[in-house]
Amino acid sequence: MKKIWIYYFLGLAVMLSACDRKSDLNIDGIPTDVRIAQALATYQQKLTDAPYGWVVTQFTNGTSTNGGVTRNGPKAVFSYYMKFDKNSQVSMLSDFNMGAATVFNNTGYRIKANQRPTLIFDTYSYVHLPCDPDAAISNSPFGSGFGWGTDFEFAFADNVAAAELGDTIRLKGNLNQAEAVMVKATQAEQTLFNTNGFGSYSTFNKILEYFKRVNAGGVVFEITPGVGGRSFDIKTAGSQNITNVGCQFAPHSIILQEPVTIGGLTVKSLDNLVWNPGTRTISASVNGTPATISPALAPISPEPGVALAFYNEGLDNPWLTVPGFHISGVDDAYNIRGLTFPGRTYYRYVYYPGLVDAGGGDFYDVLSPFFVGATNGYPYLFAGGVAYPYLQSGGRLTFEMLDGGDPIVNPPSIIATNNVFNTGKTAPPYFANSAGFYIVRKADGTTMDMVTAGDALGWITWNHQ
Amino acid sequence: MKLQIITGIFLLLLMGSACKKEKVSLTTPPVGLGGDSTANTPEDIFIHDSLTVPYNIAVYYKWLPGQLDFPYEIVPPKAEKVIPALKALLAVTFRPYNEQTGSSVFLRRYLPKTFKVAGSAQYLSNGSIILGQAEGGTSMVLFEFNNFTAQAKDSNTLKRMGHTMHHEFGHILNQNIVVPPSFKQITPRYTGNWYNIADQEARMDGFITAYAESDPNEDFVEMVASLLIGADNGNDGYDDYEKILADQTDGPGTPGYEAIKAKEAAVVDYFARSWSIDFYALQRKCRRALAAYYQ
Repeated sequence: MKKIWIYYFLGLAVMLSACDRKSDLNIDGIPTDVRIAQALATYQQKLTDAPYGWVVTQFTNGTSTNGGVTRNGPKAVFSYYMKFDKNSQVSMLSDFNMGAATVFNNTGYRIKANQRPTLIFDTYSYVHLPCDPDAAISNSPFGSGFGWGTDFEFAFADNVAAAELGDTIRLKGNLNQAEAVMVKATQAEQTLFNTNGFGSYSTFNKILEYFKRVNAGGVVFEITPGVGGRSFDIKTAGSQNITNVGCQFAPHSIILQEPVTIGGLTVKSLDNLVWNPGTRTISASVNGTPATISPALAPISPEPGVALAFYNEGLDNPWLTVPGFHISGVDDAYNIRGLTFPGRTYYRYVYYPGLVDAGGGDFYDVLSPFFVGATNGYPYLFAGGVAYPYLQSGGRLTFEMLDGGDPIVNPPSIIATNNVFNTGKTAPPYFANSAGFYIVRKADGTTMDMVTAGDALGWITWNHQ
Repeated sequence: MKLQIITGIFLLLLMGSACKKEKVSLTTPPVGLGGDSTANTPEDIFIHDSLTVPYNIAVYYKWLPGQLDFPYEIVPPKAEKVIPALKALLAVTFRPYNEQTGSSVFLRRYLPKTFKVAGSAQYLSNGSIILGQAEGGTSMVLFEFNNFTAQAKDSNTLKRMGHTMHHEFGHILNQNIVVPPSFKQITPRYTGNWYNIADQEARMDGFITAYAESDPNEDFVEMVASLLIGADNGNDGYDDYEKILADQTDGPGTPGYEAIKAKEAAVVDYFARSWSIDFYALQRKCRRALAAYYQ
């Protein structure tokens, strides 16, 4: 009898608690579904209610994820100008490449109730370019299958109700946890974007040379592209210090992520960039001081012995790259990534010093694509992929490309690449003697760029991955 | 005892009053169940008119979180690629079946009901790439839409999609009318280790692709797909069935070649007996459609 009573009370307790549901779900008498729908509508309204659009900046955290594997690499900043409309369409510009910097692209977006309210760019847009797992599109240095560590699905990260969002909205990516900040644009900014796009990006990249020299009222420093080309490596004359800094492009300015102090001048940004076609220079200002950005053919401060160090390091540990030469503003200009050989798959372009025994105590270098899928990984080697290296003054390395007499026919991409290796220039007229290559150490300490000394318009990035 | 009865009645009353249902609006669909649809685009209209109405197929090309493998870097398709790629798929895979069977009823009844579209491929950590996938006969993932063009030199993307479709469709046909058990006796050497086997090696052993070596059901549908639209022939891309046999087996009289030919006969026989379809006529129609499609 007693036991039965216990069951009654238990049952009573369960029922009372189970029937409490209504007060849990309804707030102010409004059911969950309705509240979610209202919140989503409010988020969307926040986005569409910016009459001049939004300036969106995405910061990666130096990692990139694919298939549960996370890799480390260079950080990057990507900037966008976006205008959201009520029909789930967003038009945008981006500083990803020259086309995206000036031509608006119209794609879809949606706000969805995930674990956090989420903004999704739901068809391919400029936001997806750095996310693309195809490295030929993203130019990501994280390897095949990995983007730059950017996102296209973002949770609203301010942790306030939709109605309380202000003119600055913080977002966090769902896959890579990249952070993004949306700031409401002003009418003046909209006019700038509509007329110039990401003008600073297109202006800065009019100088196609690897070495860009900035002279701001007598303070001179050099900018070379950071690994992957989304940051600056800054050097000054007489110093081997390399400062790597992220750069954010705005219509007229390039904003450095952290201020860099050079010879008493604190550089926060390069402002008011204007291209001068006659002199092929860019006028700008740094902290209000007039400055000039001009191309240079040689490093401002060549590292002593770097070419020999580069050669020696490769003797035991070959230098590798996936994309081929960057030529005159085009990444992997000869489409080395697309190389084929029947039955094998392209893996890396290899610089392997001293691998080929030429007899008589002579050793030649390998400068050839490597394929996987068969025992002979260098099918094109003896059709022109053997190089005789020379160490030149000024830290340069020249190559004489040798034909081993193999009847295999090289595809045009290898012929063009070999020509650059052989001449140290990207286009005619060629010098009687090859100018060779400057070897430039990058800020990460493990990457080396090989820059055509003849015109500084071509470079290839080597590492050991 | 009385007490108990009174308590029981009391409890019933309590339940009745406490669990009064709240009123639900039946006019607005709830969020996530049709309530968060985005505005209709030309792509949506095309899909509705060309796939949903005639074939009862839903096509998801707008990115939905978690719809594809989550921790992978996969991107959605370019909107402008959606209509041309689906049109191509309709032209080279749907139409031949419709012509052969006389109407769209056959496909409408048996095709997977969900297509999910991705712009890129899915890159696995072992270096391989997923280019087409299907889930239990109900849905198919079509990858690499962004690479789609109508150019003959880029034909692999479309052939791969077609291969996936014929493959999955084959499964559904088999689930409705089983394949005669004699099929699995042709090469009874199926292995779970198929992914360590190269396609050419598999062909020498009497399987049309390495994946066919995984299981008799996969073997059968790989035969169907390869006969209709060809199969991957290494780095050169897709080739017709006959060319693959010529290139990658030792030819008539060798066990590999003869086993594949025996399977071909079984496929033709199955389609004739079970579905009253002249398989070679269907194959001719598929090839004509493909040839006519490319520029």
